[in-house]
Amino acid sequence: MRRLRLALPFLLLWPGAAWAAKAIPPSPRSYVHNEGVVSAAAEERLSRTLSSFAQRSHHQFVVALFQSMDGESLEDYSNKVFRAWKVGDAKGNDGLLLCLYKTDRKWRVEVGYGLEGTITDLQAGQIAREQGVPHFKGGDFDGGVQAVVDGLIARLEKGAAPPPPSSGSAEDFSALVTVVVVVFILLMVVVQNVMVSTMGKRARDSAWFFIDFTQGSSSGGSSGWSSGGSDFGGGFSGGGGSSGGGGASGGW
Amino acid sequence: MKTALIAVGVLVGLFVMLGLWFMGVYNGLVTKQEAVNSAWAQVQTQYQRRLDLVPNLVETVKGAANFEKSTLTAVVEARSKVGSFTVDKSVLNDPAQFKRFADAQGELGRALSHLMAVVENYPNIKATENFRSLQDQLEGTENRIAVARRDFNEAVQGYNVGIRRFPASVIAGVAGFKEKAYFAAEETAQTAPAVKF
Repeated sequence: MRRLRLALPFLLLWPGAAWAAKAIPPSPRSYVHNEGVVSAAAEERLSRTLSSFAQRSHHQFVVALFQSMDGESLEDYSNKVFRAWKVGDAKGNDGLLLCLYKTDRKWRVEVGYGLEGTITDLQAGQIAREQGVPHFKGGDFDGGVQAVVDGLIARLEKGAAPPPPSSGSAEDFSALVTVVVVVFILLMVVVQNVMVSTMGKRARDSAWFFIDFTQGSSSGGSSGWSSGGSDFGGGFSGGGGSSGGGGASGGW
Repeated sequence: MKTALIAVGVLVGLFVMLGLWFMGVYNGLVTKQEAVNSAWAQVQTQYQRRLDLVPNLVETVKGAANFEKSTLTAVVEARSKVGSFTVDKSVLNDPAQFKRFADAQGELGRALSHLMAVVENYPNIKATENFRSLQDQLEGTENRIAVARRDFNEAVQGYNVGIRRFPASVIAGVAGFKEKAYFAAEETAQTAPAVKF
């Protein structure tokens, strides 16, 4: 009790720790988080649709089907889920999240920063309202969710430019590191060779990375640790994307 | 002679360590400050986005016969008040000015949500494609504002705690890092759904 009283002011100071906050479920392994809203068969089908879309387009599109938002605000909670799961690529922020809260009768399409131009709020709203809501009204979540997913994917594929050529800060940085490493190694090699040629055998013995040019050793430049890429093996793992609250929401 | 050398060596070592520590703390504060600045830029972008929507919205609504003048006037006035602010990041160090800015934005938010509520009584406006689109854009913008404000408050919180914690507070004092203002929680109420009447 005393410990609690001590901790309380700190909890209040921490903005993330609102009281009675609905916990954000751990990031799903597949592209669908389903709390029994759609049938297993429908979940399987959604998952296949979304993972093949991710492979085709390199956009991560995740569907989160909740029973309830437990008194949270629709927009706020959906945004937090998007950010917690890091949907989309870290550089492009090109993720998409469809949230459904069954007992609250609410839906939200949360659009990552990078897709706001491809899917405007109006279009996101229209697709969900026209293709999903009629199904939701009749309690057909299997069909409704699939319809919204298909609609959004169609919209993305129509409006989307081909995936941008990979160039950006992360690649620039790793390229820089590679250049620095290569230059460093070359420098050491030159220094060692100069030492060997000027001081002879003694230096050669102590030269810990003497490389004989005549042997033509080559160390490839790209050690290539890929950054923030998404897992295209059919499963979902957050690519580091974020969303600034773009998208649309509504109810049925 | 030798002990003197050792003493000097130790002293130099201590200074170097102190310098490194100072550098680390200082750079940490700079990073936090930049996080606040970029979060602030995002807040301003979203507020600007809302501001840009207003003329179009007013134009769309004004066309309808005998639309409540007072509602429109309130929106136009709130907009021009917000527009009169020239806000750069220096406002973050001036709590009074910051509050005036936040209040003006809050007023515009309330005027707009009142306008949207009143339009509910005008089916002929509500039904138009143009209004529907504006409504969606406004909703999206209000939501982006809410997210941007939340991010901004969190960034400021991180920064303010950073400059007040001992011993970083000493460096913050020397280097002139000042506490920054943030949005009052009360104001988030403006994004609550409008009451229909």
